[in-house]
Amino acid sequence: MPDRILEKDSDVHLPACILLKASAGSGKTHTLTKRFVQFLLSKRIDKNNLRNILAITFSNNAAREMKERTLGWLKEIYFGDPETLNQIEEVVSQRRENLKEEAERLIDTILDNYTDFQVKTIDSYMTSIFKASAIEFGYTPDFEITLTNKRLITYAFDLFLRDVREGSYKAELMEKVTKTIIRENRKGDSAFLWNPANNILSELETIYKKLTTTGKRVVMDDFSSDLKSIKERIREKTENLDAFVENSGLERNSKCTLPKILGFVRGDRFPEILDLGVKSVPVKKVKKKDIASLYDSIVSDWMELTALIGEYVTYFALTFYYPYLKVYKEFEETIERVNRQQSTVYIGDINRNIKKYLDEETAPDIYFRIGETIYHYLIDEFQDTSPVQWTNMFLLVENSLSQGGSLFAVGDTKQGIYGFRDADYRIMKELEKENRFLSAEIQVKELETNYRSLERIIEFNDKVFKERLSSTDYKDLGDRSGLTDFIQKVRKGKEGLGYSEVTILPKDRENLPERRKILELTEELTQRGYNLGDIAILTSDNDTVVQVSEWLNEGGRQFISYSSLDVRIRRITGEIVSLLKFLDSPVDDLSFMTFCTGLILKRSLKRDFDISEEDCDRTVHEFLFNNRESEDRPFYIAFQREFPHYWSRYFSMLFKESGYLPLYDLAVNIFNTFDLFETFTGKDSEEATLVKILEIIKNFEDTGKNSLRDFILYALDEDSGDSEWNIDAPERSNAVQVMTIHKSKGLGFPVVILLLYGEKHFRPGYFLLDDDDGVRLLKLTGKMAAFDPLFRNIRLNDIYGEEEAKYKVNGLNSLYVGFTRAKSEIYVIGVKGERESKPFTLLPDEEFAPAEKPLEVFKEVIGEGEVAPIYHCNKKIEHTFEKRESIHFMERGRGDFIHSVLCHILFTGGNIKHDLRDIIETLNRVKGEDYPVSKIADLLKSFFKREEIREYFLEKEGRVVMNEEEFLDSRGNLYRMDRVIKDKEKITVMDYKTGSERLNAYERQLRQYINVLKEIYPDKAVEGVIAFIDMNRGNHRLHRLK
Amino acid sequence: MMVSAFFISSKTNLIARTLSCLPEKRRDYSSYIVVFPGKRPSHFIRKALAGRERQSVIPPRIFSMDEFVDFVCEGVLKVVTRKIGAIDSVAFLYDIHREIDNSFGGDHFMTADSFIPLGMKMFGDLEELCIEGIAPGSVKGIEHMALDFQPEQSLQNLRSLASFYDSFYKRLSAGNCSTRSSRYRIVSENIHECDLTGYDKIIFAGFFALTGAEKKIFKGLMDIDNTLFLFQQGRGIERMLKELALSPVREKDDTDSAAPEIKFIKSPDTHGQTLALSKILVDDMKESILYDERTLIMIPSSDTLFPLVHQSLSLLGKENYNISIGYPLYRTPVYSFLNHLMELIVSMEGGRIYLPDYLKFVLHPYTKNIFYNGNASITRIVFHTIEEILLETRTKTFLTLEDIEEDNTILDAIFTRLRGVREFKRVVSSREALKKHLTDIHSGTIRKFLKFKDISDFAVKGIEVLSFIYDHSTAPLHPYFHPFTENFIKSLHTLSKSLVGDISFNERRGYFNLARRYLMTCHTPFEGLPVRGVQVLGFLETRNLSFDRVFILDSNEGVLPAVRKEDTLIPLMARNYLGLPDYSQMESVTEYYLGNLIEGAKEVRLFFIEKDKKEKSRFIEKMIWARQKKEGERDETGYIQTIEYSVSLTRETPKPVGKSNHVVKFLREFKFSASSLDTYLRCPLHFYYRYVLNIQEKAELTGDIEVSEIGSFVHDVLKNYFEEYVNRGLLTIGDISNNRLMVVTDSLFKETYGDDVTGAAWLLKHQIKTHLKEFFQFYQRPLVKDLDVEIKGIEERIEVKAGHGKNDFHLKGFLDRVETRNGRLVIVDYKTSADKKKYSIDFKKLSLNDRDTWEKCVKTLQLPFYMLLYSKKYKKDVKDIDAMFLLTGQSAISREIEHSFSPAILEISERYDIMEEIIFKLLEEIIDVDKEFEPTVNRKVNCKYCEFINVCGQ
Repeated sequence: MPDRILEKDSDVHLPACILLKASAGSGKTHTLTKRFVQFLLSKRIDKNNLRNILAITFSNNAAREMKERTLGWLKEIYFGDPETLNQIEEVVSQRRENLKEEAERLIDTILDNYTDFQVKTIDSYMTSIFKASAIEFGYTPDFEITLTNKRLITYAFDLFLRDVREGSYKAELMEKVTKTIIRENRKGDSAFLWNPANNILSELETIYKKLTTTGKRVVMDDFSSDLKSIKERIREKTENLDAFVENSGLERNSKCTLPKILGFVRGDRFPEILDLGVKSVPVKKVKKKDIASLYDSIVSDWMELTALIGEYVTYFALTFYYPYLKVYKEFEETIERVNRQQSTVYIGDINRNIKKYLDEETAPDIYFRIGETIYHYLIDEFQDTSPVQWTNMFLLVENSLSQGGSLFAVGDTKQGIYGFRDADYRIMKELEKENRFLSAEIQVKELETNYRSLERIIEFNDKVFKERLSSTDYKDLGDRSGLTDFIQKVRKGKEGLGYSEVTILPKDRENLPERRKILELTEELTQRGYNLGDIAILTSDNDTVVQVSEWLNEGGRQFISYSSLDVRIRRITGEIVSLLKFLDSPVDDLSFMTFCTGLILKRSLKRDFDISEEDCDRTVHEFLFNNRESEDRPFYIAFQREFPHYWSRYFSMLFKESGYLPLYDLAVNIFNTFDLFETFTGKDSEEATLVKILEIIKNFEDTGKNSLRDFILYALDEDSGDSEWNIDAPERSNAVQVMTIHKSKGLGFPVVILLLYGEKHFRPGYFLLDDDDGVRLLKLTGKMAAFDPLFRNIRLNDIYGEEEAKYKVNGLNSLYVGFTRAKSEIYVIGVKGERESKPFTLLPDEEFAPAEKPLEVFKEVIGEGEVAPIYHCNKKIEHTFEKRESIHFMERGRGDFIHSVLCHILFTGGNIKHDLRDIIETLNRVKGEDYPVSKIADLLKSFFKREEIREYFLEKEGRVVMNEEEFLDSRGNLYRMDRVIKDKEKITVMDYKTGSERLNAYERQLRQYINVLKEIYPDKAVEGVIAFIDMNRGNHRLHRLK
Repeated sequence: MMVSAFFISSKTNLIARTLSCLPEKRRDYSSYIVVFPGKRPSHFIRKALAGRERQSVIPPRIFSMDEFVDFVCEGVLKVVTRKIGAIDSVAFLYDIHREIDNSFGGDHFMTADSFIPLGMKMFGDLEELCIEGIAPGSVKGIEHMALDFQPEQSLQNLRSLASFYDSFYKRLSAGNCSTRSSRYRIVSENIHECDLTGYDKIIFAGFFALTGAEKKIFKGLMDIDNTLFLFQQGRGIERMLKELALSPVREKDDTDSAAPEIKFIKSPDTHGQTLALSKILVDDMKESILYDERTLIMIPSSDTLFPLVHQSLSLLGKENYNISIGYPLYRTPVYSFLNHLMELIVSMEGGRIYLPDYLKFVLHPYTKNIFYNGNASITRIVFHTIEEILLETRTKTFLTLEDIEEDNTILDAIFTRLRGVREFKRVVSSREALKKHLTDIHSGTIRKFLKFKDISDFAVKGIEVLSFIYDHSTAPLHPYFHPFTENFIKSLHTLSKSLVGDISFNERRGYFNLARRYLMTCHTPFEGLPVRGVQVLGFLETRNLSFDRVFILDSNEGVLPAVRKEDTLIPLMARNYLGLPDYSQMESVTEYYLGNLIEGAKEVRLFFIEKDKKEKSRFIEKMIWARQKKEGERDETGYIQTIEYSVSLTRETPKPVGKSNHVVKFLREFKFSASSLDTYLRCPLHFYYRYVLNIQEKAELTGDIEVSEIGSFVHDVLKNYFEEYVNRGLLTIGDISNNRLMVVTDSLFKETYGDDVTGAAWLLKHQIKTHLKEFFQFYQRPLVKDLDVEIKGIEERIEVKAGHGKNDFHLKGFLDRVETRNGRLVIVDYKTSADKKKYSIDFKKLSLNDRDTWEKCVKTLQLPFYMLLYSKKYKKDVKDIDAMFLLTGQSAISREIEHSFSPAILEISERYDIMEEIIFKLLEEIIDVDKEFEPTVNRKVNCKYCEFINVCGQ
């Protein structure tokens, strides 16, 4: 049977461009992989070399999974899996019997050329392009990518601020900026910016990020004079109108905001006008005809005033960010410079830089640099592409299509929920409607069968989106991402199965009925045969995840909360960090006290001293209370005095070690001292947390930071990448998984409980006005938009409306994602406030009211493969401290140099001083040193002059000299001896010494030499001499050892 | 002529086979030369030789290929040049860079610090061209490469590279220098001139993937009778033999060992691998399985070293393993120490240091543990006392070192503290001695880095600082401190003697950028000698060695193989055109040696990490695939184990703390303030920690201006301004003078932040002045104009004893301002924030009888508490007292910034009575022995920023 989506390779006409719409659970990755395998296996598709195909995914995990799947498909073909073979036969023109061999060849090719097996995230693909062109952008190719721009901007801003001082240009600029911010943003109860630096910095961060995503230049218009003039006009108009009203004798309309406007105008508090409504006119409507014209005039004036306010809104919106942009412009260069100096690139800048560089001309250059031309692109999750990413990709894809390549992009606009990360599902939607590629036609196809969910789940989704949503005022929004017209068929054999239930509960913050409902459901589901691990609870935000986790915790259910994985919120981490803080700064009483009252010490005392936790609590609290004003503060001094045993058992060594141990070693010693893995094991095991802490410290050291204080700051910094601090949730734990809908994207669970609260209001941030000049940043609110501001024929409320719609569509898409995660059963719990309607109007609570539950449960089979046992070693490495010897590197260097000089001297005949000078000069040159030639030559000359020494440097008959020769003893130890003199009867080993005299050690070494030589030359006497070259300023000495 | 060449199986032990080529029972093997590709096998063959001969001998000359080339170059061809590495070469390249037109990167790399990393990268590519024997003309001719398109910019870069290539080696030679590659080239081009016939035998063992120069050398040596080649079977070797036109004698595999038993272990992180390895080790030890040098633990990624040492190797004991790997210097605390020093210097303003960075540096363990007369504790006390004093006074964020050294308050405090400790009493004789100690530390570290003549001078000073720390602090107690420091010093020494040594920068920052980037490339070698016990080796160190048991950690892509496609300035197509090896050839080297290592073993465990970006090595995929094919079974779960940690995310709820009689007694005497009561209301447990145990968070000097600091500053300005008007009669408009306000503000600012403020502090000053002016203009003046205002008190401290019923309590408070307005008493409290809600009391929902409503409805008790204090002290009826917050933090100043306790005079008594009742009920509750200190009921709000969060276990 032919594949409905993928045509047979013989029918593939290149260039080809397919856009595949794939609803949740419809086998999108399956189809994408199949396409990949088809292209690889086919002998009919051109340019299908491994290195000419690129699959793009949106996460590292997805990339890894896709690689595995591709290899998996090929292996299944090799092993003759009938289902896979059938599928491949649909799309590849090869005889079944050849496929096995072909698959084997391909797997070998892939594994032999694994670097060319390209499944990458879009970021890593763009990074490799950037890397290949880094030098053009002013970076060396070893740059580091940062995922956040915060640190760099803070640093750059700090540099910028240094020039802000009385009388400086930057101070003047900042003065103007703060003045504008305050004047233009002033509202009655808004907070005054005492310390505007932080405020400006945080705005700059956002602006930087925002502009980065557009990749366009920012346009800065100075409308201050327009703003001034429009204010004057408003002032005049308001005063006149108010007087007119007053004198008109007409009854004032109390709903009208004119008096408030007047107040604000007089107080120069214009921005506050923007929060006012202007629907009501200043006077009550009159019936008498003779004064009707008066009324009309007032209304007309009022309209003029509101139009003026509308104009003010335009300028206000356009100038709101002007002061920030002014600073931004000033320090933009600093950011660039800092980036280059530190060789770091913010991930967002990669696309921006490529965009600057990439055009139709340079695309081949890019391919040349990255090493190959990509002819065939496969893109997953197309709806999550951002505009700047797509701009870059588009040019590369177009170039490939023009050379007979292909694009196969798969996505689901209904699952476009990453708007906040600048992903834009509209890119896919627009491409569905209009082909922008010049080199190929676009075929739009759709996957119609749902492979994930049972029928009742599909039915539920149809009901919500195709019926309910289509009949509300949100229909248009639903249409935008395709929520109202998708096709989803039930997979064969799954008809009539599954369960969906909707419960709407009243919002009751005191009694929390949803809490009870969730606990009941988890109880009921497990009783019916599900494992806790089969259940996922999805919510729309992190706070709710935390809240639900709390309920499960209180209800005694095991859970994995994806918003509580940060180890820093675990108590034990807090205690360890407190101990580190105390070790870093022993005067930190709070940290010491935190640790002393904590579980670690309590359990250690119980284990080591058999003190009960209650006694321990009491003792510690008494101690702290008694020393509340002790002269022995900091606390640890009193602790040391009162509890010497505990101090010496737990703290004393750590206290000392913190002075010299590297961070990781110190942490390990803390773990060992308190035997943490053993102490926190079993039911309330902290194994994952503890391992994570060590792992983080190890990784932290890799950033070039290896100090306690730096680590503490890192641990306390809430902004430091949370995913780094997250525990690795085990794949097969039997615990309810609690996560946000965003986190659940791409996943499927047997049972989903979805907890929904009322729709959140659109809280707009920055708006972008994008035109040919570049982009302008706008400040808009709903109330401002209501004034219908206009800028160069662009209605600003359209911009507002578009953003609002995008936000709402994201919300609807998010619902769709949540509703399509369940495989067998879904429970939607809506918690509705009195005045809330969305999303509750969409929920078919009557059609899907609680009903009899299905008997059959579709559990997940968990726990494939064997678990590797692990062991926590608690053995401390004992260091033996040798007597401290000065490092004297320079001295040793000089000694080594003198040894090298001597190594070149066999005998001292002829002009030794001249020879010495030659040797020293050559060695200086060759080694890049600059030791004083005369001084060393004189030293050695006087060394050779000494009678007892001269003897060993004389050339004699039969005498053989070995300088720096290696000798091996019977245990394999290697000795490099300075000078071994082989005479007829005797062997002499001479060891040169420079610097201080440590006779005992030297003698020991020489004896070893003698023993080795005795074994090699058993028939000769062996003598050892130590030649002190520069003892007491040229007072050379020989020490003989026999 | 027949070349002596043998081809041994991958199972054969190459070391043993090489040894068999040396005659037995000789005392002197110095006429034999053995050459391996790398260094490590030399230790093994020496050990094997000693084991065979069982007596001392003169060993053969055993070289790595690099050493052999140096030996021939210097010893045979007598080429006397300075062998330089990347950093020296950069000096030549930088000169060329500045001279040629259209150089790499346009104008981006014109300064030395920006060019150096690029130069080092370029050096790698040039060396490759050189060792492969590519003629400069070929690089120039690259534009004739047949392409369908013209990658103009890339070709331009290659033309530029060709110019570098052309000039670099010429200049090198003119400068009497050589590099590794140029030496290979010299030897390869002159190999026929080399007389090596004096040696009995020259053995080349275990070579694979030869460079162009090596091929030439080998071909040249094939003509000499005494040369012997030993090649080992492995993927790709045949191609190499073909290139050499060599047909070695194929030896039979005489080992009868079966294929190794291979297992794979998947881990979520580095530690999982070491923990799983520990389990294997500990189980084996129980079974008395011996671990010796036949066991290998390979760590291709050096960051696994210390986790391995602590989590696994510690089980064996340090006598039973040795480590040979290069460990990056930047991972060490020594780097971190230097980095702190560099950060401190960079953040300086003129001659003044930035205190947060100063404290970070002096409180670094190496600095604060510098000995004073042999005692490290004294310096710790010195710097922690300095920290305390600076925190307390907190006046400036920039100071000179002399300001600190000569500050008598600091010296007195340190001296007094030290004299208070018996053991230090005798050691510290005087303040002068302390001052000298402090100055010595500054001079040995910070002052050293204040000025540099050039790179060389910088490096020398770096050495001096490290030597100072080495000689004077406890740092060397860490056994690795010595090797770390020694290698730092070596690296800095190389820098100081390098050809870039005389380059100087305009800013100190330039030196630090260079140092950071250069030190990033430096390593400390763990040499792993003598060869004894379990061998812990990096990947390169395992080449040509055989082990029975092999544990390979970090078997991940990017690590095994470590080759990166983009790691070159020469694009792939150009590489192929020039005949340079590309990434695939480099990857095959890893595969060859890894393959032989595994083939030669009996038991192999491969550990890999699978998470996020980390995926298992292709070699694991290959092994799995081979096994699947062999077993005819796709399922791989039988031989892949997975590491999982146990996780429990459950949490304990905070427990209340009971009251002892002592505590109750203490509380009865306690002087309660409004804020202590507010604290109790929000969280009794917090009150306990803060007020009963008297614990506070340690302040940190961050350089950031805290909100509380702004508050105190504004309070101080208003206090300083108004205190002279207390009881001076009615205020007049003239009393509200902007000029005087500015004088007061300026002088206080100078006192607090110094007279040359910059950055955030300057902005703050500017804002404070602007806003206080507005405060005067829009609030203070209209007030004085509209009402008769007389100031009765400024920052008045009031203490009273009061109670309801049986208990009396000590109550205290500071009243910002008390005044009369048209004769009516008003207590004013300034707030620098703008948010009314933070100070409100919701009387509508507040119920005296419902304790739960108190916390919810009362944001602060401050105003009624002050009213209580005032009315008690002055015996005033509260109905005659108004109390209000002045929200000076609101951006628009007007009378609306007033936030009164009771806007309606008539309601004052009613409201006050409720609040007074609540205050006393709370006080009674606090001293009630049966009432425990409970945790807050509103955890979401109150715990988020609480300093006691870890004490509670939230």
